[in-house]
Amino acid sequence: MGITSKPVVFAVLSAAVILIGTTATVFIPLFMPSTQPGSAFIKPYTAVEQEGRDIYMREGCNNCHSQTVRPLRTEVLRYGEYSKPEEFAYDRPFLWGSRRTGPDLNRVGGKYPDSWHYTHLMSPQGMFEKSNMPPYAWLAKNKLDTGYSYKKTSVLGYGYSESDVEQQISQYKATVTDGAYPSKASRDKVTPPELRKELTEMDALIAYLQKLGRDVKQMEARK
Amino acid sequence: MTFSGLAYFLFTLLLAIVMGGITVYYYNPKRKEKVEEPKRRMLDDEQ
Amino acid sequence: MSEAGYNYKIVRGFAFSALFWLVIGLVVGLWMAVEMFYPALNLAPWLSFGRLRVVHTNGLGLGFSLAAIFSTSYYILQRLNRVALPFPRLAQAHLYLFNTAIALAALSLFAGMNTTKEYAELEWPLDIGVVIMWVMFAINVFGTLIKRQEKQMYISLWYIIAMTVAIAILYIVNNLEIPVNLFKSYSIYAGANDANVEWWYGHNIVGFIFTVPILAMFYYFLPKATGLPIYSHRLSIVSFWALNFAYLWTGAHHLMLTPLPEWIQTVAMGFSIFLIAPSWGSVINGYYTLQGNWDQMRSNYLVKFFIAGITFYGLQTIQGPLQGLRTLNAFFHYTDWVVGHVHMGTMGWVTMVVAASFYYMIPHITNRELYSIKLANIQFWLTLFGQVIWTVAMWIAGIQQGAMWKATNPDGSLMYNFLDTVASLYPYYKLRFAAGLIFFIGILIFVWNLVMTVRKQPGTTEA
Repeated sequence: MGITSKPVVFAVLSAAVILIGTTATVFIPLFMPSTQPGSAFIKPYTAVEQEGRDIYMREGCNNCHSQTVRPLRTEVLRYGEYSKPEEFAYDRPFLWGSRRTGPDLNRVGGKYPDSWHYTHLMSPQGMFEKSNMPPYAWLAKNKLDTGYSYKKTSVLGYGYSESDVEQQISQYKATVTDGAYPSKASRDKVTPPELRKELTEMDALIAYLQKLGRDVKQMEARK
Repeated sequence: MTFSGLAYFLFTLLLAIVMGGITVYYYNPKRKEKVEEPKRRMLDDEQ
Repeated sequence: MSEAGYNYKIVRGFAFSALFWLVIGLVVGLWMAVEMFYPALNLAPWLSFGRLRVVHTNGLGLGFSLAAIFSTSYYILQRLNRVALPFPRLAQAHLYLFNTAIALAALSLFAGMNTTKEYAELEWPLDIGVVIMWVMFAINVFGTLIKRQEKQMYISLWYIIAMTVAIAILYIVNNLEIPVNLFKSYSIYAGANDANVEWWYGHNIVGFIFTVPILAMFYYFLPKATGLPIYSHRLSIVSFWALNFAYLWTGAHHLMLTPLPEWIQTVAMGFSIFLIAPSWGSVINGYYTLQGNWDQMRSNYLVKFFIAGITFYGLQTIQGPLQGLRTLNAFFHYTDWVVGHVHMGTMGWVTMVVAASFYYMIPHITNRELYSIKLANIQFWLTLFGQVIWTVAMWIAGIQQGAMWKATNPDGSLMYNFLDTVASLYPYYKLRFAAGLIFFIGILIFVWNLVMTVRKQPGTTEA
């Protein structure tokens, strides 16, 4: 009875049938620049922000936090301006998420000072009694491993030289270890003394969180 | 009708025709015995 | 070896691997369920929710489900083709590689090696292992099909072929990544493209693991367990091709109202609604098979499992497309409603059909009687109640949180801050844990029943 007695033909036909929808809705959009447009306002992550993003991924933060504000009235009220495609041009992988056990983070950058994040990551329940977020105090007890920072940014095609990366790292280290750092007290509270002069994983994660949704604001202001 | 509306309509129509064709082919009474045979064959594979 | 020289050792090996990973995955699930209302249980980095969630999804999706699929596929392929496995040694290697890969996958996810692409979280060396494992499986699939002693291929074989082809394509395309070192890589796609590829994968991996091969089991074991031929072979032909064609267009309904181009979302919405038709083709086929023989619901303990399973499949395939509609999605997406939806599919449809298939298959391949039909009936009711309470609790939680997110005061400001909406869910999370526990007890009885079937009652000389 036709193809039901020809397994190889059947398999090839199955593959063809599967590939029609795939080609139309996935492969073709991959080659359309309009699917993922860029913008001169959107800058790649610095080496430290990228390390923070990798920690965000390692800890699976995306399982509870989305990173796309939808164009709905109450959502814009709650989180800020809705997400634009341009702001994800450097996101490999994307971290849009699928469940909001915690709030959306796409526009969290600049919403709170660093000190807020140190205190909150150390103990979410200390800040909000009813929160169910896991505490991440231990991130401040891990020295940031920057051994692959340059390799990472070059794989991602950010166009930094090795000295750019070194400079980004030492610059951010200088910022957070400076005596005049506005969030010094909160940072010192969570960071063990031997790491206070070093970059920790928590420092990097906060650098990443503070980057989210910042560049796009200049793009939106221009429009 | 807009261009995209027309495109959606024609595409839907095309798919409906293809599916209709497959259905008519397999539901042709002439083929019934042969098409339905494996469902009985599979029951007597205990040998 | 059986009467016809069929290789049942491999069937049994994968069946008990499935049961092992099922228990592990559910223990992790229960732990996380408590973390949701009692965060002090995040005792160590490797026990934190963000890491456990991927161990849970991969352990059950790849560990339990794939093992159950391999087990039943090796059985169905030999029986329907009336030919022994052409490469039994390869199948044995497949079993070892599978269990090694799942164990390493679990360890690597506990350690935080997570690419974050949902249901594709494994890092690149394990991805390569998965692909090799799949090729090993495919060689035996096509080997039996080519050597078969039966002219026409029965429905279950079509679904096994479609799964074999589709998962290969999905897995490879979505996991293309550039390594930084052995433990870290980055996706080759960026932003909206990465999202589009991922949800094309994410939706279809669910389709081709939790739907297609489970339908292969359903179409094989329902007639076998009842002695009744499937209602309509030609209905299943039309359903099969329609399902395979339409499924691949629908991934973007997971990305409604995101920055993904709107036309991709709209097309996904249309095909999602269409998918109700072929899905219900199988539902109708299931129900009508029992036409005139509904007394088997009482007399044949397996029929309950199949009918409950296909009923949840029917509900699932209506709920899913409706959630995909832009306006409903705006309300339900990101809430626990979707979590409830997924678990109706996995705890209702998949578990019911796999349980019935194993209850039929394990005694057949070992030439023994099932240890206890009474225990199987108890398991049925425990897993059914556990699952229904679980999913309904999450639906209510989802509606409540969705409504609280949208609620505004007369002046237009938001009525609830985010934390209020989270705290309001704790009663449902506690109920969910209790329901999960009931379900888990049912599963332990299921596993016990099968272990006892194999261990005790020295029947024939089969090994």
